[in-house]
Amino acid sequence: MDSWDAVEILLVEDNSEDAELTIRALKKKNLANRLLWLEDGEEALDYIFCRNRYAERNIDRPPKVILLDLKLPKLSGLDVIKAIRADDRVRKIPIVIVTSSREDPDIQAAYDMMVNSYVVKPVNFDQFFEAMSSLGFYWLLVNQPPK
Amino acid sequence: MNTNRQRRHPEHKDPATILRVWIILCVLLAIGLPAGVIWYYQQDTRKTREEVYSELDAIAMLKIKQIEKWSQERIGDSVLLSHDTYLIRTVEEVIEHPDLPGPRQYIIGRLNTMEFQYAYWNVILTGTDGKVIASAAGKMKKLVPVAQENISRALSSGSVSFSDFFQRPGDDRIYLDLVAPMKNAEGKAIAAVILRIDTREYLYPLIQWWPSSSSSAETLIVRREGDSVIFLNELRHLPHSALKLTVPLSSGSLPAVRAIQGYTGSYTGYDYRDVKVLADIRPVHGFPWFMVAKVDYDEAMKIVRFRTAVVALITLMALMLAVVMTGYVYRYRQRNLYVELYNTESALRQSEELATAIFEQSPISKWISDSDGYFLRQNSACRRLLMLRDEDVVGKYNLFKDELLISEGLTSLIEKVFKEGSVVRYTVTLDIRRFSSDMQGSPVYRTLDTTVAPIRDESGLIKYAVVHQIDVTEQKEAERELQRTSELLRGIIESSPLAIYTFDRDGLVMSWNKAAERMFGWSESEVLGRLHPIVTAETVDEFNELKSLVISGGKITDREICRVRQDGTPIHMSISAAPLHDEKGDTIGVMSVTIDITERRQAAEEIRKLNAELEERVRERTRQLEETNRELEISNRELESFSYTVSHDLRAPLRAIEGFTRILMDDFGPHLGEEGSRLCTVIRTNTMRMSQLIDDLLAFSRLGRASMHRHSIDMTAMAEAAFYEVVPEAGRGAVELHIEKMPFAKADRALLSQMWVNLISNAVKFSSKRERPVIEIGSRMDGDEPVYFVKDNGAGFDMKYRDKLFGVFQRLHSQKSFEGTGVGLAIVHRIITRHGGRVWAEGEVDRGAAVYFTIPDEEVAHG
Repeated sequence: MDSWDAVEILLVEDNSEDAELTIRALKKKNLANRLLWLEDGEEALDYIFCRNRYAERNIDRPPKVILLDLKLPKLSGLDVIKAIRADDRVRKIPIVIVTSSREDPDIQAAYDMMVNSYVVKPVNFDQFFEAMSSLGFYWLLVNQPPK
Repeated sequence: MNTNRQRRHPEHKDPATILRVWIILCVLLAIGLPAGVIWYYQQDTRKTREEVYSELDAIAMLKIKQIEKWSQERIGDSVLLSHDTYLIRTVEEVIEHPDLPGPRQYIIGRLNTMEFQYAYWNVILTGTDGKVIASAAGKMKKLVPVAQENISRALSSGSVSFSDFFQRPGDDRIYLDLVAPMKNAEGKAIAAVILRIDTREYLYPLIQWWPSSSSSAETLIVRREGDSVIFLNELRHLPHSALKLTVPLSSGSLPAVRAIQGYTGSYTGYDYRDVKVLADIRPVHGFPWFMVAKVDYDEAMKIVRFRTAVVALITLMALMLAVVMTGYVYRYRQRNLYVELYNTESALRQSEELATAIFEQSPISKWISDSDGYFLRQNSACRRLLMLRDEDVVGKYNLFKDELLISEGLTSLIEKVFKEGSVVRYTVTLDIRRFSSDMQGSPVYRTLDTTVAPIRDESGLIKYAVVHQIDVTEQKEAERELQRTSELLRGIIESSPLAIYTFDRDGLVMSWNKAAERMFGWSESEVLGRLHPIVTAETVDEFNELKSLVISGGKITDREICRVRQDGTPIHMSISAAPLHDEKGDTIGVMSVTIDITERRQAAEEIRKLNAELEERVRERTRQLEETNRELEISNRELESFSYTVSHDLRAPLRAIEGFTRILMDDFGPHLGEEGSRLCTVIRTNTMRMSQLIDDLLAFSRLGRASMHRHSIDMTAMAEAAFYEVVPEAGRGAVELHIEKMPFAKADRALLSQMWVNLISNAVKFSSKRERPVIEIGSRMDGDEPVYFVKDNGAGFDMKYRDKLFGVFQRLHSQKSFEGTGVGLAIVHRIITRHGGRVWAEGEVDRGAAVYFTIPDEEVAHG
């Protein structure tokens, strides 16, 4: 990737298999060209807020969507959402929760923090592919990001 | 009213008197006014005459004086000539030498000077013989005889003398000669100087001149001539009369005659024209003349007549004005009189109408009796009240002969009305049909509050009495009713087991019932009018507070207070109090109803103690329960966390296995071969089952945690809905479904719906291998409790395994014969037990199965 600023999809996922399957699904639809995969919440925040490794990134060029797993090492997904939504510069970035859990408290907590969507990853491969590719299609091509 | 009416009457004189006065006034005026005018005329005439006389007198005197003065001057002139020594000598010279021209010329010159200087007609010098010696301008040659007589008379008298008026033949002029004898030094008359005067030029104007303008006034000079009077000058009213007109002396009333006869002064007579004149008569000294100054009586009196006419006219006009004014004033007063009379009459009429109307329309029954007690008239209220017909009572009924009144002893009282003028009031009860001639039906008794009052005439005599009667039957009835009611009320209060008492605003007891006597120990007679006895020094503040609360309009209901009885023991009581109002609505005190709750309080105290103990035990139990709950909560939270981990962490590897196996098949399918592909499929199938197991397990574990809300549920409708959900539309024709009408159940909608879905899908699944699957859904009653069931004709089960039927992951059939995780019935069991119900199954292998369950109305225990 030439520049961190060209990222359109930020995938935050600690499970590398899931990440691979997700990227594979998006690639099949040619949607993963500008995808950055990070493995924990802290690094995700470093990227979003242009810290440490990403200090030279321009904060005014956010990704079009963040695909976020809730169960992450170090900082949990909910902590990441909370940090983003608390900062005026980045709070408008669309966040889609992509997780295995369909447990009520998570859904409830995520929506309370104004996430834009909540998707449960299906175990069935066809369903998973369908879900991921339509997700990418929607957020990259259909949705109009905030200015 | 009569006195008022009189007072309002204005004081009027009798019209006849006014007329009489008026006539007398007119007569007096008719006589007095002409008399006054005449008197005025006479007065004015007299005064005017005197004025005229004095004027005439003055004029006459003036003229005489002027004539005399004129004559003196003329005499002076003559003396100047006749005594001139040089002239005398010259005349002697001429007489001596008549031919000498010189002296004659001198004489003529002197005579000319005289004539010219004093405007004489001529100045002549004659000899003693009367022959002319010389004359001014030489005009005169010979004298007329009259003139010669004058000369001889003057010479013989030796003094200057005037001639009479005379005329010369052939000459109209009237002359007057003044003759002065001229004497020589020895005193011998030698000549005569004659100054001839033309009277028209000097004397007549003097005589005829009048100092004021007048149409008739004139002055004339007369002289006696024999038995006649001759008028010497030109008369104003008779031209060319000078020396020609003569009047005989016998015409006595002529002023000229009177003058000749020696009368001097004012005189009223008739002049030569026979016109009445006012005249002044005077002799002229030095001449044989008499002067008469006169003016026509009519002219002199014209002003008087004018003035009198004016005065008469003004007086007449004033009189007429007065008459008109008086007439007008009279008419005006007369009209006012009639207006006032009319007003008075109409006021009188109105007041009578008013009085009649007041009497007639009064709502109070009234009738009028004369002084003998006889009924005179009644008003409409009386007709209505007593139902009296005028023909039955007017002039017939007598107040003093009414037997009812006599028997009640009221007659003598009523007589006082007429005798003493007092007002009498009494109440009688009578049958009002007594006066009607046709008494029918039952008596109608009325109680009448009756007032008899005197009516006086203007002189103060009592001529009538008015009898007011007010029907107080209902009032009396109401009073009796009130009395009955209050006796009843009193009875209730006295027999009440509650202490009922009242006290006034100061706290003084007004009433005290028997229960109060029993409750507090004081009898009514002990407390009436005293301060409320149960209030002690400790409770007086509370008492006052409650009292003022109630007096200010508040109410006290079941307030529990403590007071002290007469014997000193405390009494607990519950009071209810309300303000007492008088008829005006003012608060006059407090009414209190009291219950003795001393015993009740003691009982309540015991109960309270027991309750306290109980509560302590409950609290202890609650603490234990709360602890258990806390433990439960903790374990619940752990369970939740566990479920989450299962949900999240177990599914991720499954997804990887599934995903990558699929990728393996897609990408390397040709290399795997047929067996390899089959094995991949086995992996994927098992992965999916694992995923399903996890989902079911999670759903099962969620059941225990979800909160429950019970509603009344139509079980029939819910079972039907579940069937339609479970069986796709295409498969519905294959299944024979019988749903009976089932009783409603009180349960959680979501849980129960899940239960029906699970039961029906089980039934459908296990009967799916039958040619004709039959599913029956219904209920039966077990005592009061409905037992719902779902039956199928499917694979059934062996009853010896029925205990395992509802366990988690327990399956009685192979995965191959019937798919499933073995959680469905476990969930059913969990839901029913959470509702406190029972669930059981009956079945036989290949003969179908039936699941029964109950749902109690209320929750009995948690599952």
